[in-house]
Amino acid sequence: MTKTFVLTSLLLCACAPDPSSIDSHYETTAQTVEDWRDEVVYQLLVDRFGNGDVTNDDGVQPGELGRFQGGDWQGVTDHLDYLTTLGVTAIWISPVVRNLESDAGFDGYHGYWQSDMTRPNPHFGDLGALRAMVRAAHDKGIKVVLDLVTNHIGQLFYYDINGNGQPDDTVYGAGCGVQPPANSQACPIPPVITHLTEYDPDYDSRGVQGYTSLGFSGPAAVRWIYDPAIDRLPPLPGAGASPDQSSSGAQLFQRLDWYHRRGRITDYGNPDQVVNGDFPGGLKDVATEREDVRATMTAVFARWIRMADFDGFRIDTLKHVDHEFWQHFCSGIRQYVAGQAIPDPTQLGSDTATVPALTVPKTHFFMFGESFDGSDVLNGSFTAPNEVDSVFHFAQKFSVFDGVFKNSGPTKAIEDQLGRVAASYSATPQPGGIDVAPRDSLVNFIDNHDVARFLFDKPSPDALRNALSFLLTEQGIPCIYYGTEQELSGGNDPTNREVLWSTGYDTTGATFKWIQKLIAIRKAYAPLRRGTMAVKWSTTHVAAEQDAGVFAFERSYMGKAVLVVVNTSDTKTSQTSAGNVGGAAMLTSFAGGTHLTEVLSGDPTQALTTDAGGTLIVTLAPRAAKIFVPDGDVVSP
Amino acid sequence: MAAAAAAAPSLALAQGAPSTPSDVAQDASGRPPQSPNAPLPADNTIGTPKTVPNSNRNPNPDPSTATGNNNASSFGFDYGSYGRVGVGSDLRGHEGYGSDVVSHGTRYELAPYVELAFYYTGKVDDSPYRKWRIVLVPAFAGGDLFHYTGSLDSHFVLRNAYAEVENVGLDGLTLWVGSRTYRGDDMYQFNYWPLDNLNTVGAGALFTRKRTTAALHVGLNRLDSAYQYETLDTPPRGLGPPTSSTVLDRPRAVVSFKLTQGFWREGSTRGAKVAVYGELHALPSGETTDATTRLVTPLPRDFGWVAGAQLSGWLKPNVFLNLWFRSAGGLAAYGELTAPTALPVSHKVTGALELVGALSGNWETKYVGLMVAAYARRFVDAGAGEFNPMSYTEGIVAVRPTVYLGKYFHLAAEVSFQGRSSDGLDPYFGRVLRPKVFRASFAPTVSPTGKGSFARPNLYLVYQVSRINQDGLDALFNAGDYRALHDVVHYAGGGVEWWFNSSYR
Repeated sequence: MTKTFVLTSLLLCACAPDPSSIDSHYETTAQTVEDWRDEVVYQLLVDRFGNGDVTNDDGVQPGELGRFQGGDWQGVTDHLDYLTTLGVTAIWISPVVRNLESDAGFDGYHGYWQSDMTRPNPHFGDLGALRAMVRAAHDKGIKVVLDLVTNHIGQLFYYDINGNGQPDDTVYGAGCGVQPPANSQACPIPPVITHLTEYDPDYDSRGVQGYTSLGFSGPAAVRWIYDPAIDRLPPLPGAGASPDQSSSGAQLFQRLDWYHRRGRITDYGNPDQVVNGDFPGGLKDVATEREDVRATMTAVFARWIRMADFDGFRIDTLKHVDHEFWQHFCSGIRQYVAGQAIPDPTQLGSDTATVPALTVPKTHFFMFGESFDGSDVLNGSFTAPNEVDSVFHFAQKFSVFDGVFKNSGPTKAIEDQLGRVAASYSATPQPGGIDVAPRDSLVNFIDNHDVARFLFDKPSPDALRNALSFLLTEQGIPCIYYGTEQELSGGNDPTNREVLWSTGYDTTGATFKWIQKLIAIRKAYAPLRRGTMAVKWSTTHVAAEQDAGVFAFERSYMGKAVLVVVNTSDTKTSQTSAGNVGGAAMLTSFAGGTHLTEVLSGDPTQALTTDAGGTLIVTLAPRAAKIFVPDGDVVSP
Repeated sequence: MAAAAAAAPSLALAQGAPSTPSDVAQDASGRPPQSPNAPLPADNTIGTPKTVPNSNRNPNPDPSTATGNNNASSFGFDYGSYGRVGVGSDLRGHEGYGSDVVSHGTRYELAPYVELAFYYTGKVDDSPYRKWRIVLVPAFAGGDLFHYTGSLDSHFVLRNAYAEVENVGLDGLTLWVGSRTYRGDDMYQFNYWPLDNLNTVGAGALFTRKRTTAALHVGLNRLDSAYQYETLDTPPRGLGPPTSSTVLDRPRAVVSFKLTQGFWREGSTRGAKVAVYGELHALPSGETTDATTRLVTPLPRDFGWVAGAQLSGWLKPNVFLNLWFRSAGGLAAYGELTAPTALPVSHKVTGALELVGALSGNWETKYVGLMVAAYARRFVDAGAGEFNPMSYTEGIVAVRPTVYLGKYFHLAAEVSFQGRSSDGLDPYFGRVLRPKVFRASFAPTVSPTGKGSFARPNLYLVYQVSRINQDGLDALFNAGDYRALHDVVHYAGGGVEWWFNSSYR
């Protein structure tokens, strides 16, 4: 009988997959990224990209874009072929950690309201599904970048301004007396007495103050909220927050002194507020200047590298965190990916616990951050030694993609922006980083989840494709927001976060094909990936001038060069010549008589030959782009 | 301090397992529970009352008894009952609780359950063997004993309500119609029917000729779940509150068939039987509609099947060995009372699979008895993903020796080991859980009906100790549950179990 049982058991067990391959013996792999400039990043919101597992569709409200829509990691896995067809080589996925479920009528579908930094968000699947997604992506040569937040947690506590032991939507208290947005509105000192919400009161440099009918009552009590139904609980990792709201004995992120508790930023021009204030929406600001916070945050996210084999970090709200934190965090992560164990303060009760070292170290682990600001000086400051490898090129988004490609401003703005890049971002690669200088590896983008899509403001697919032509040929690392290829046109958050499955993942659309072609060309020609960028034509003309809207540049690498010319004008056929206003033709770096093939159209009739002086006149229809390669350098598609 | 015998906190991963109605733990939308770690409803024994001794346990080679009710054979009104009532403590000041990590664990700590069987049997044409019979069996499930909870609420269920006629029109033929529990032989130690265990509203026929029995049944069920049935509020025709419209109504049809061939010689206590069993499940297509958004989700038609067999042999009454093998696919892998909790994107469960291998046996002499039981089970959920935590492999083995200290006083002991391994990672702990439980029980028993493993009633005291590994604690108990702190679980209590003239066969 026993034999029968054992044999039967063996038979049944033989039918089961081997879970050890995703369990404790899970290993990272050495995804080879020689140069991140070779990559094309595709940003996706997991909740919106693909729904591969309807069993986790809890709370989904289809069509209500402020709510969960049902996308998950399995959905990403299921549509990796769509991405490889498009040609992208890396995906930046929205945060994976458990979040506050909902707040003020909106859901935490985006992932930026973290409540438990140690566990995966069940809306998107489990750790097995996440690992399977990363593994499947790696199998297709796609790198996976994890989005993470260190600046804040979700709205998990409130300020008991009136001392009644409950969170009130409207109380009297000290505030700035203005309604957001108030980017340019300085907060009066002392703050005025106004109506506030105890969830998200205005900034007060003294810390949020209590206020009763008799006047101020000292620092407001800060209280955790216990609502398991929406994961609104004292955050993890942590322990010891007690129901009586005493903070004694609390550890890690349940310690109230791990937060600044000064209320919501009202003045983005005030560095103190920007760094120490709560992020709008009641997202509580973490005291990242503390050594114990820095060590814990580093360990928390180092663990994720090991748990799911990520290839890089996209870091949220860079400018809201002190520089010293980034120096600690980035250096710690670089040590970790190099194969060193690092201290793990989350293992409570142990002074010697470490995040186990990676058995397969990673090279060129990419960390880039979001400093949502038009100032290159500010954004570039985060590329100082030992900070991030790169930042999002927000200044370019505003000055070039909005200013020129969307609003038809002069292309001279592009050249100006390139000048600011050279002056503002570090020219030295980070030690232990990606071996490319930040100024050469800025992450360029047209739009993303925090801004209206290009087509919302400029409902012209031709203009979008024109902008994409520049994005995918300029210096730096291009990043495409999901749905761009499907010509999605949502406005500001959350309407810019459409579900991609509504498009049927069509691969035949004009913009999809355009991106596909541009990526193929970028892959084929190393100068377009790694080359230096030299402006060959820019103009202040935007009207009827001969060169109105034209911008041209060369990318040069290892003795080879590619010439790119775009016409940003909506209506005028223009050329790289300003003869009608007294200018000359465009001077290229090519020798006289160089025969150039236009590889974007593949049309032989578009080929040109430089004249004896190396000059060239390129004529482009409105919103057209051309990419020229010397005949001898042309590669077969 | 003493507490009523509490139900085992079933493993969350048992959801979707084709065993008991309590596995139908889902919300009204038909989607899986919000928290995959949420324990199942407290009583996982609903729908699994203990059966009476049946042909394998008390094999009776008389073909006549196989055609109809084994128990209520007299004419007129008759009465029967099955029941178990117990109370226990964990010796730490809490209610005694179960700690099974498999779908069907050991039974000393099962929650109270009582059923009352009423029969009325009439003659047809004054024939002594042509009969008609009404069978009504109300039951009280869920462990809700007024004297323990102080609550008057009860979980009342109607386990059987059917009529049958025997030998009318064709000798050996029994026809029945109604609502009934319809099943074969069980594994007593685990309260588990590994081959056939249907709850149905329908009709069937049983035909016996000599040592061959063929049974066919057709039934329907429509679970109270948005997977099968849904109404939506609609505006009233005139004034007044909203009325409702039925937008989804798709009963599942289940056809079962069983062929049993017995082998024995007249006058011998020895014998054997072979049974083959099958089910077909069919669910029509429909649409489920979200009550708030009115989003319509198509639910395609779906199917399921069961194929299995049983081999039994006995040397004399209560000395027997049963072997089972069951395979089930699609809808049937979840059981007839379970709406699948993890639908793939296709909303079909074609990929679901269940495989079971099981054995149980009993051996008795004048002085000792020995029960053994074991099963291994593989369940594959139809949900998405390569590593689905809803899929698992489990097994249990238990041995229960009993020493008879005279006719009425017996000492029983039981040793068991059970374990489960999931295919995926636990969503909370992020690792594969492999819960294991080693258990030993000791139960001095009084059986006024004499010796034997199945002599009832049994009045017993029991002390049971279980050793649970950390994975078991993690799987069974949520964070903050005091039970998560104790890897050694005591159960000390007492109970009674009885059956006579029970309605199952």
